[in-house]
Amino acid sequence: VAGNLQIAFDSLGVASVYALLGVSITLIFGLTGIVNFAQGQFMMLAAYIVWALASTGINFFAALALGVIAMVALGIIADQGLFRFTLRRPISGFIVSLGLIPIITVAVEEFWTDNPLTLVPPFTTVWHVGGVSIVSERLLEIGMSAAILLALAVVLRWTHLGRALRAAAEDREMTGMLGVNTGRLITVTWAIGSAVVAVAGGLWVTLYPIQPEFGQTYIFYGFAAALIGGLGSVGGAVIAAIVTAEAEGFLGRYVASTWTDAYVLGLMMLILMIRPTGIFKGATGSALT
Amino acid sequence: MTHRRSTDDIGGLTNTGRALDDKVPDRNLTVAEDGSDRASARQTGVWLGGIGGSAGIVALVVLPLIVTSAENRSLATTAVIYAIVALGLGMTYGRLGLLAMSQPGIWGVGAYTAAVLMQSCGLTFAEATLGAVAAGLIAGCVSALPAFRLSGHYLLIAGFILTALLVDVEGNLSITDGQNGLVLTNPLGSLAGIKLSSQTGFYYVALFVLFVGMVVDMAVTRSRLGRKFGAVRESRLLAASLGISARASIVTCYTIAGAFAGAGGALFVASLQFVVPDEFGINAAVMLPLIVMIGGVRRTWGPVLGAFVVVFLPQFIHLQPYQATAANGVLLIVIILLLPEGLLGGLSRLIARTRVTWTTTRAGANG
Repeated sequence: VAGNLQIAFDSLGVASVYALLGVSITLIFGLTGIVNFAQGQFMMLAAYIVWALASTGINFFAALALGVIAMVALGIIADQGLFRFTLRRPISGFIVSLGLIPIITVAVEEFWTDNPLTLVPPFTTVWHVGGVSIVSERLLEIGMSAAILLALAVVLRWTHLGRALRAAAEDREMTGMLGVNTGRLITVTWAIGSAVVAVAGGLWVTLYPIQPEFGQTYIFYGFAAALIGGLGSVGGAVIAAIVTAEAEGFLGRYVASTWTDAYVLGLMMLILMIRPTGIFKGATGSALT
Repeated sequence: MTHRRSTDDIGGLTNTGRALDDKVPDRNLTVAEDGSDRASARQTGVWLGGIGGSAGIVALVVLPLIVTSAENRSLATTAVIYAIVALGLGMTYGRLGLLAMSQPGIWGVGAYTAAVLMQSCGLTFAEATLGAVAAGLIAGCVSALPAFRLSGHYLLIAGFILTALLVDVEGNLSITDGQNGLVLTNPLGSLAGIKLSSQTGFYYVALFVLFVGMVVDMAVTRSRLGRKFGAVRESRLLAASLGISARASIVTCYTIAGAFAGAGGALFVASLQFVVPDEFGINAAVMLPLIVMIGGVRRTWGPVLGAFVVVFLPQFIHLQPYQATAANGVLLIVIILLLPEGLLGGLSRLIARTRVTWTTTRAGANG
C-alpha cells in the first residue's frame, strides 16, 4: 500500500507540471484557435532561464519570478510578431509553431549546452508519513501549481477580465462589438499562458535534469491533458493531467515502463477518435470554462 | 476556361455527379489570377510552365555531371528522396486540403520495412522497396481513418500523434534495434544494370522513382480523381451532394501519399545504410511541410524545388547540420507569413502581373 501511495504522490507532482502545460495550451487555443505545438519548447526554455539565473547564486524564487517575466515578454513577442498574423488562418498558426520548435531547441543548444543540467532544489527536506517519503520539493511543486490553477479559475470565473476572456472564446467578433478590446485580450492570454508554462518549466528543473529535447517529449503529455480534457477547458485539462500522470506512474511500475509513451499516445488517439471534443466538455459547452 | 460557371453547368452538376468531373477543372477553383487579362496570363503561364518543367527535368538529369563533389552528389540524392516523400504530403495538402502529419511516421515505416527486409530477410533492394511501398500503402490507408471524423486542428494533432506513436514503437521494438538504430551490412547489389553502391547510379534510381511519382501526381491531378479531390477540398458537403464520397477520396489520396512515403523510406535507408527512429520525428514533421510550402502548394514541381532548397541552402550558407533544423524553422515561418503561395506561386504571380502590365502598356501605346 505504501508503495502505491508513493507512486500516487510522486505522479501527482508530475501531474501538476502536465496540468500547467496543458492549461497553457488550452487557454491559448480557447481564445485564438491556435494550437501552439512549441509550448513544450517554451517550457524547456523557461527551465533553462530559471536554471541559468539560479546558478548565479540568487534565490530560487527570485530566479523563478525573473523567468516568468522573461517568458511573458517572449509570449507577447510571439503573439505580436508571429501569431497575430495567423489569427484568421489557425492552421498556418500551427505550422508557424512547428517552425518555432527547432529554432528554440537549437538556440538553447547554442547558448547553453546539449548535456543534461541539474539544479539543487531550494528545499531538500524529506518527511516520512506512513511509509511514504514526501519530498518537500515535490510538495512545493504540487502546492504552487494548485495555487496558480486555482487563481486562474477564480480570475476566469469572477473577474471582469475572466468574463471577457470567456466571452471572447465563445465569439470573438461579438465580444469586440460589445466594446471589449479583443486584440489586447489575446495578448493577455499569451502572457498568462507563457507565465503558466514558465512556472511549469521552473519547477521541473528542480526535480529532473533538463535537456533541450525535453520540450518535445513533454508536449505530448501537455497535449494529452488539453485534448482529453477538451481543448479550451481548463478544469478538464487539470483532471486529465492527473489521470494521465497517475496512469503513467502506475503503468510504468506494473507494466513495461518503456511503453508508457505509447500508452499515452494511444489513449490520446482513442479519445480523439471517439470523442474529439474531450471528455469533460459537452458538445455545446462554452469554449473556455 | 474561367472560374465563372454558367447556368448550364449548374444544371449539369445537379443532374449527375459525373458532370462535376468534366466541367469544373480543379485549377480554376482556386487559382484565380487577378487582372483583366486573365486568359492571356494563363496562356503565358502554361507555356512558361512547360519550359520550366522541361528545364527542371534536364537539370535533374544532368545534375550528377555538373556536381562533382561526393558530398554534393549525396545531398542531391537526399533532396530527390525528400521530394518523393514531400510529393505525397503535397498531394494530401494541396489536392485534398488535409495536411497529413502522419506522413513523416509512414516514411519511417517504409524505411524500417525496407531495412528489416534487406538486413534480416536478405531480400534485394528492389524487393525491399516493393515491400516498403506495400507497407506505405497499408499505413497510408489506415492513417486516413482519423480524417473521417476529425478536421482542422484535431486532424493535425491526430496525424502528429500517429507519427510520434510510430517513432516510439520503432524505438522500442527489438527487430528495429530500438534507439541504437539499424545498420545495413549486406551489399546493395545492382538494379537493371545500375550499380546501386555507386553514388551516381543510386541518384538515377531515386530520380526514376521521383519521375514516376511526379507522373502519378500529374495524372491524378488531371484526372477525374483529382477533380474529386478538389471538390472534397472545397466543400465536403457539396461533394457529398454530388455523389462524391469524401471518405473514398480521402482514403485514396492518403494511400497514394503512403506509397510515396514507403518508396522514399526504402531509398532513404538504402542511401544512408543506417536508420534511427528520431529521423522520422519532429524534425521530419517540420521539414516535410516546409518542403511543400517553399516550392508552392498544389504544384507538382513545388516539392522538388522545395526539397533542393531545404537540402542545399544550409550548406550554401555554411550551417552545421543541427543548425540547419533551426534554419528550416525560420524558413517555414517566413514562407508561411510572407509567401504563402511558395516560390513557384510567387513566381507565377509575378509573371502573370508582368504580362498583364506589359499588355496594357502596349495597348495604351497603340491607342
